[in-house]
Amino acid sequence: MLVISFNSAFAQQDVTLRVLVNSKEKGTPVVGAQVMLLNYNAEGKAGKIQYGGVTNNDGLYEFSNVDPGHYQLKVTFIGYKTFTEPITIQKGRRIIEKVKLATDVAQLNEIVVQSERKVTTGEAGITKINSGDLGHIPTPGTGGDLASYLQTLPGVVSSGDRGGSLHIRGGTPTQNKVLVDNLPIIKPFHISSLFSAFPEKSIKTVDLYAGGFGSKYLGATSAVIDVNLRPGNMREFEGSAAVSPYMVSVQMEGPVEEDHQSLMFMGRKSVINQTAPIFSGEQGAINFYDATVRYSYQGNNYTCNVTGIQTFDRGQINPNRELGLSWRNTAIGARCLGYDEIYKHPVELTIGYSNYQNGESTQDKTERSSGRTQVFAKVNHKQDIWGIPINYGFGFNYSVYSAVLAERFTDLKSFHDENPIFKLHISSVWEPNDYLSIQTGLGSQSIIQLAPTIEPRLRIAIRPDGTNKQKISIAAGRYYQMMSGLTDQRDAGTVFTVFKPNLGKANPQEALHGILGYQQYIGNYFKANVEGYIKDYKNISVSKWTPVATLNTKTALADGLAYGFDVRLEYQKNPMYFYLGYGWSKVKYEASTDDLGAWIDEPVFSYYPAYDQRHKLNAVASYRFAGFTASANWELSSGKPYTRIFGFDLSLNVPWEQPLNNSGTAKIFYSRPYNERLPMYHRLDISLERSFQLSPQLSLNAKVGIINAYNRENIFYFDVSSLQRVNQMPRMPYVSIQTQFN
Amino acid sequence: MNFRKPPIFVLLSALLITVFLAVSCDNTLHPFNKDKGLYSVYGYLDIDSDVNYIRIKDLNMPFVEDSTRKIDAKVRLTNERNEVSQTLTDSVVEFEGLYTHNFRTTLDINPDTKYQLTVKRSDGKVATATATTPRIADTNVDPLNADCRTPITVRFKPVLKKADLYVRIGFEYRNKKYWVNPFLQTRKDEPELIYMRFTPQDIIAKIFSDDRGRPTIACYQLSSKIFYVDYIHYGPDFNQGSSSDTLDIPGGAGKFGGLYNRRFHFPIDTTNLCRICKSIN
Repeated sequence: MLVISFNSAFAQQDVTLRVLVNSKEKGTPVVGAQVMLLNYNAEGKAGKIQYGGVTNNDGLYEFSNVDPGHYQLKVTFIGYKTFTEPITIQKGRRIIEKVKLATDVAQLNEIVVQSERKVTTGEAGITKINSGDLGHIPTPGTGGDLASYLQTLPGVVSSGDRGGSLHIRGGTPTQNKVLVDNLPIIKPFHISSLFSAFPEKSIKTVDLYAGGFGSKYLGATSAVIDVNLRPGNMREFEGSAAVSPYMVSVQMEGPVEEDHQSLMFMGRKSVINQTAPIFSGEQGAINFYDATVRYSYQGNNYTCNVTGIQTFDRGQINPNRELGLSWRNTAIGARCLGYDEIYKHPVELTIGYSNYQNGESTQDKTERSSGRTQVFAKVNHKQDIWGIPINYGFGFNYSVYSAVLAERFTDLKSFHDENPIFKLHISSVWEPNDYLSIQTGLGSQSIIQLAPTIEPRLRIAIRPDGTNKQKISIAAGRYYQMMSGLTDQRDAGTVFTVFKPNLGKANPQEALHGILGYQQYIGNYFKANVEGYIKDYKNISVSKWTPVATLNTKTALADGLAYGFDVRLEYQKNPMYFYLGYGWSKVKYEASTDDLGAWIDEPVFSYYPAYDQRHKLNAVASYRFAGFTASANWELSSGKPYTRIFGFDLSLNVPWEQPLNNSGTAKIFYSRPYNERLPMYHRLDISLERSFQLSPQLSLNAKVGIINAYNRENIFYFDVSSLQRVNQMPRMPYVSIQTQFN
Repeated sequence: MNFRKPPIFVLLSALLITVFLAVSCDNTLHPFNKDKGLYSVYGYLDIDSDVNYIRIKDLNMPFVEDSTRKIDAKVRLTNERNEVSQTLTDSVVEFEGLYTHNFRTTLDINPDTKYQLTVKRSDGKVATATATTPRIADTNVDPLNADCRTPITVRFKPVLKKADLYVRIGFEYRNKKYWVNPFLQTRKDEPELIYMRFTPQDIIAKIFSDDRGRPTIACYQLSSKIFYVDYIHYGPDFNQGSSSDTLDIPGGAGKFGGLYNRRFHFPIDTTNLCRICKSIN
């Protein structure tokens, strides 16, 4: 198995070879291709691998400090024919080599778990996701979706099948950072938690950092979801249209200038409001859409991508309760990567604008809204200092926070705040041999009112046998974020969130992460991964409590501790794919009882918040036969904490209110907070699909499936205001059709 | 490290067993903790009233008409000093479809006496609340017939603490009564004394004053020479919420105590002290 290695820690030859790998058919970058320089033996044949690596998300790999000489350049990737050519490396030169890989259909039938981007884990805290991974999960639309896939991972907890909130290893949604080609998006998950703004067809790669992420990512204390969209086809026009009971979608892409410019559009709109009564007998009460436009330019020495994305969601989490929720993302950004010979190392520049607004309206028509608008720019580069390659970058983010509030967050008045943040990060990788790789990093964020943060990061990979067959990996770091998201967590029926900047009046949210993982390949088709983690959170804003179930609440600060372990087993050998993931976790919060308002005697109150899911088991399987693909996903998870009610009262303000003359005020009393657990959750989703080639340019894909196949009544939450048990999705059969042309 | 390939059928079998066990798990939700709360109790025992009403609410019954129509409760009030007790009768009052149960008692309510209220459910579970009535406080006003600017002291004794006394002072202007809450004071050498010290002008200025706090009407402009004192003297445990351990709710699902509510008045001298001012207004 190929291992990256630098020849020496000290620069000697200052020779750089940049290899850009594209697909011959589509002209788009190939991510994860193995790029190697082999020496020639005495017979003049290619011999041992001297240098090697894997292409990044831009399809680029850079060799540094290569000894001058004659080599064979070899590029391989599953599904493509191997590329080889002789190459001469001369002293003091930088070379850009562009490689086009042709598809090899025969290889597509032999996908092994060991191929590079199929390495779903291996580095502590990281899950690397391909678009193909999403297709294994039955989704009531054509193709897979990132939201459905993420929920099969241990450590990822959804609040329910509505609301679009994901908790990753004990962190709240506002402690996560979602990036789309470096463009921050606040909440790209739809109100139906099955869907996100990222369908299978739009994705190139996704890196999920469940913790322990490097210094390049600043501004999140829990997790990072780094989404890389694929560029449009640079050689041919292609498109598709699809319809299912959940949504309709259209996708079109093609070259503006062959091999140089492409344009892609993807749009989806829900129709579940109209179809739910037919298919499931229930009201839909949700409405959403998303649209992505992407312009890609590939010059001789640089590439640029301009991405525009908009998402919209509106609906009710509890269809029987008059509480309307809505949120909208609008973002546009450009990312350019320059790798011309004049640069010692490639330079990456990103600028953009992102706006997020969410709102809530209640029975009395009170409207609440909150949002965050960001303008940002960042530069990433690399330098050699004393022969050690140092990655560094700096950025500027200017955010405007606004909120119009009433009732629910009575401690917060409506506000409009602005918060510029300066960011800086550096990191370096040291690989003295085939057995060890150490990445150290340091990040810093600075706002005017506070001293700059110091955020050290460390990642270590140990290969006991010098190959990637086994790997022990460690990740640790300190993390800060200059923003808080406040949600009334006592009420699972709302996801309305107030975004508030840290303006120096209080300490920012902070976390310490520690992860230890072990990965083992067994043969070519089987992989096992075990990972333990701990996250220590500080200064989390939580809703204050009252013993009475009332909309009025204030905010308090809590500390949290999340720890646990994941076990993943993966088997992939054509025609079968099987995955089993189990996660055990514990999330505990602690706050001063006086500050929190809890009605218990202890001075410090500890509790398990509503997303503390102790056990989670996912089993995913897919099987290809006779042109069909059958898929199944079964999840079993333990119940989450909730607070029971113990009293319905009509209280009188004695002696001012007389029993005979006043009805009193209706009040519902909570028992000890989060002291009970909801029933267990489990659900089986199945699907069967097949493609039909109607003509050389036209194909049809048909899928039938059932969400919640055995119609399990999984509880979502107990609505205190209406005293109703709110269940998650009932059995939902579907048929989806997609036509594709090229 | 070398690992043998785990047999897939072993994993699949384990999974199927897990599925079977999961499917058979109980899915019911019990959101109501019926063992924790029994009743709420709201009311007071007025020493000066022949009849007192106490609201009893079954905490386990939600706000639905049918569930509030009847109450499973037997209510009894006992004078712990002389052990005289009475079973209370229910007076049902409906408010917009919700039925409230207000239990009536004609038991003599005496000062400085502890009373125990028990509410018993048919299954034998009992909620209790206690109320202690206050001692009757002597009142004293000095001096009487003071003019508008002369300090007047009103005393109440014995009163255990300031929180046990609610006082308001009233006057009439243009045939309408106005009320002011004065500042209550204590003395270390007389622990059960609560007093207030004010001039009539101070009281008037709390309602009628300019930007600088000066009164805008004078005593001679008042409709009456009489100042009124309304006060409620609470029992020592009245403001502590429910005293019943069975309810176990800090701050109370309930409020039950003893009190009396009285009024007295005293005259003031409304002579016009400002000979040259016809009217400050």
